[in-house]
Amino acid sequence: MLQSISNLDNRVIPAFKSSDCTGATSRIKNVVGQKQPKAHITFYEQSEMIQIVQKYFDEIFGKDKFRVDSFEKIGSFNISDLKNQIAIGSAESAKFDHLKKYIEHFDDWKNEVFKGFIDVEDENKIQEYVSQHNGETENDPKRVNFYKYLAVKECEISCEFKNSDTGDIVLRDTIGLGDTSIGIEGKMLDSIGKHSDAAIIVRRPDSLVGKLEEKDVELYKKLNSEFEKRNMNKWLFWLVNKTTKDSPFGDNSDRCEAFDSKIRDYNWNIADHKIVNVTDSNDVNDNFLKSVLETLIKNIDSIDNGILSDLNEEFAKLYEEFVKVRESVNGILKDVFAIYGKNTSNIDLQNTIGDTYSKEILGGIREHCKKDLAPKCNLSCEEFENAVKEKLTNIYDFIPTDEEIKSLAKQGNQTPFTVYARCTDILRNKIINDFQTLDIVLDKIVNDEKKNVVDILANKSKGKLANLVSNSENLTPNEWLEELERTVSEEEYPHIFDALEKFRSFAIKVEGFMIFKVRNSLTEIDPRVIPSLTSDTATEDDRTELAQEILIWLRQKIEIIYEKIRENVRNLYSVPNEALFACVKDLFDRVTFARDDSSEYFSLMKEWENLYKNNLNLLFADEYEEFTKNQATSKEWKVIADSLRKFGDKKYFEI
Amino acid sequence: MALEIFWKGMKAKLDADDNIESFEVTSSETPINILMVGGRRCGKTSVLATIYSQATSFFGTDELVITSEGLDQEITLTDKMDEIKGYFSASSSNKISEFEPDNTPSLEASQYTFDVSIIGKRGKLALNFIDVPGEWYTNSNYEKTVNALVKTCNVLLVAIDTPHLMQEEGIYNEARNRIRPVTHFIRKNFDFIPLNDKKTVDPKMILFVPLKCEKYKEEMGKVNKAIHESYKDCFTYLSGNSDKCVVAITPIFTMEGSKFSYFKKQNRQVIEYEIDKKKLPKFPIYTIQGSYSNLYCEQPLVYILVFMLEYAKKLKEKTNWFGRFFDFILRNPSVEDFLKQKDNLKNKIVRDKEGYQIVQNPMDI
Repeated sequence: MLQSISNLDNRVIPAFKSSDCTGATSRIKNVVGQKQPKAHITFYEQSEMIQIVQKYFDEIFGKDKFRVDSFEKIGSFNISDLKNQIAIGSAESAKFDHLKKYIEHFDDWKNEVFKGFIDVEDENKIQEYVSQHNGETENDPKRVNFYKYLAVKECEISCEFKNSDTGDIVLRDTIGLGDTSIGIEGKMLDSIGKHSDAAIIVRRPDSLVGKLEEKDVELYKKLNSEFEKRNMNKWLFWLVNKTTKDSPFGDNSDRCEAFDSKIRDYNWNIADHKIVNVTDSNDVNDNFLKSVLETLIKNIDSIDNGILSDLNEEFAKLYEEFVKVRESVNGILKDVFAIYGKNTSNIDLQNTIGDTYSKEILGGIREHCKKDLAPKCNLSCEEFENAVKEKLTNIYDFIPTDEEIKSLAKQGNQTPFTVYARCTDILRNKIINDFQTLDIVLDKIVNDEKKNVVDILANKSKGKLANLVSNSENLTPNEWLEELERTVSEEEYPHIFDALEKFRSFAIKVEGFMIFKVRNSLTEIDPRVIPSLTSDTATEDDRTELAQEILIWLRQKIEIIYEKIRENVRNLYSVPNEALFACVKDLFDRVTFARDDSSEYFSLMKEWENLYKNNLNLLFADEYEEFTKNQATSKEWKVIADSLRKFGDKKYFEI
Repeated sequence: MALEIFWKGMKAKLDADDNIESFEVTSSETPINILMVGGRRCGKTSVLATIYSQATSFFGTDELVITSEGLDQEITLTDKMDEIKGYFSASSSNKISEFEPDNTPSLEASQYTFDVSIIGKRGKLALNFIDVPGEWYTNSNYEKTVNALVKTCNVLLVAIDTPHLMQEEGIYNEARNRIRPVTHFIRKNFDFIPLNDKKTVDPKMILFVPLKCEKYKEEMGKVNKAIHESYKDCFTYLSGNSDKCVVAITPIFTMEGSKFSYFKKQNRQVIEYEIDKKKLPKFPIYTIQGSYSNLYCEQPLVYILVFMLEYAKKLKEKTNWFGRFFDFILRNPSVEDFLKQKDNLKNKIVRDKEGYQIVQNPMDI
């Protein structure tokens, strides 16, 4: 098929009927005007070759039974000795045949490894690097085997495609899955996952008994589990290769139909499946390729989204790795700075550290409590009061309309009392639901207060902890605190960690202090309190009359409810202020007076001191630089530490 | 001087042309003067109508008889009662309905005199209710007149529109009940002098009368509390004279079967109108269900009579006390008979329930 698209022949894209022929994977680029194919061939490095061969040894003989200590050693293994150690006909035999090629023909390919890459324009020469043989049968005297492909990492071929207007399309050949080389499947998945926007699985059913087999299902499952999140139904194609009676494979058209119909039955999550004669250039280019390209263009956004989703997962993993690296570097630096910290008694830095945690952080929180929060404790929280009053006014909107009441009256065997009760059921639920949305306002109030405290902790002119965990604008207070908790480990600073965690978890929920008051105010529209209704529901006129009567009752009741709720909640307007004061006071107590019951002596101040000393390089960067100005390496470390901190923002790891 | 103006005239007259308005109180005999105090449309005239209507039947079982002086007055009060009862006749059977009370205020000052007598006895006590428009309490053109009235009346009957006091967090209370001007006139004109001083004027009684309080019947304690809060300055002033002024809260239920329901709203806001730069709800809506009845409407009259007779008794016991009005009582030919009725009336006073409270009681009523 690749030949049909690219106009290349067997010399560049091996496709022989005799046996497995592709030696190395190729990428084929459409370059308009490039009439003569050109190959850019990249070779493995020595270390990579050692790993490849070692893997064969490990899989055939067991891990580390044979060690490939050096590149040259590859050619020195004794084939006979090795062969004696595996059972004839065992699964390892096929793999051994591959290993044998690496060893026996070491001299044929080893020199390529040293070249790094080469560019080849002669098609006969290209064949030597990408094919396993020249296409003749094994017994044919004209048969020539090639081994240079063993050293080829990748081959990029540039040429003009048959339909040169297909654009910047790049085709990537892979080794057939039937090949017994080690890592073929992995390479294919890798090729699809990392290098391709679309993939075409080509399958040629046998002309006599060919059908969709277990191995096809397994392959699909494998692809599905690997690429499920990448919108596989937008870019994965299954091509059923139809052969004709004059081909070496015979006429398999009926088997293709059976195969294709099975794919349809299974309803696989793929973009399309088609029966195509890959040797028929017109069929491939005009029908199949055109359809593939059109599908891809249509799906390009979904494909990109799938790739982005994959990339974000990769980035998440990368971020985890990054955090580990950063922590390792900080760990090393801590040791250095711990020594430094012990020697700071005679300099001002010691006092600066003490001032920072004791005056700026502990003192700052205490002052904030005393000056900003305590005076407001018994005062109404205006933001909350206004929101509650808004909810109070909303209750008028919840009275069912005349039409709604009439509609309720029509449903089944309703009596005036059941219609009224239904109206009040609706009213009660709507009122409660509406009041519950006050949580949004409370969350904002709590969030705003947390911002104030985070400012005390983080501000570079106050607690300086933003030097440890960057306090970028797009972080919420809770996100910043969470990040700080990750940095201030529970093991090292248990009491500070505990205080931060409890503060972060703090929330005020209306369910806890107000909803029951509202609910208790609704007894006037309790189903047990039914007013005396005179209408009945026999006729349309009666329903109109009933709706009017119920509306009068509801309007009267809603006023009573309004007054009751107002009366019952009026003392609760100060709750947010009281709760916030208690929360911040609790934080102050925890970061100042916490005690560890398990130890005889414990100083929380020591914990703070350690936190600052252990992170001197970040928290007191300028002071530290002064100290280390004569130490060239320390400056480099600082650059590394700074860089790591700078790139520690998770946003850099997201697309 | 003010007193002389009051007692000289023969009919009520409102002279709209004068910049300073005056009002003359007339009576065939020296009366007990009772000033109706309160804002515009808070229900002062309705109170009088129901008091008269109820007192007639209330005293019917006793030896006391109450009669209205003059046909015009009788017709006016009867018409007012018909208007009240008319709300009920418009509703069918036991079905609930809504209505919006007539919002037309009284434009003229009126005087209603009720004569209280004892069956078979000579002499009568004239109770002279003076009902001036609510606007007079807020218009400087009437200030002198109101000052004179407050100064000389024996009893002040402060009518309170309860829904405006209680609803919408009381934002319409001041605009409707005019608490500040009422307090101002009381503070300015209650020149108390110790009772045992020969220069004293007669002691006074102020009755705070919450009206239209049917909606709050089950929680009249809250209404009582709201009155104390709203009239706090007034109560504080009066408590400084607790030995000379009887103060009581005497709610009356003029329209049982009817309840205030809500102030009509549009876009979730009460529909308002403006008067004297103050906003008031335009459409107070009441519901009505069942037939007309009332409760405690005779109580203000009972309080007034007991107050008057207790004072007469004290005057009789302590002859060094002096008062212009009570001189008249003591000269009444049936004074002994009236005093005999006092204990009977006293037993009929409602106290300490459904919002009733005698806040200060120097006369031991």
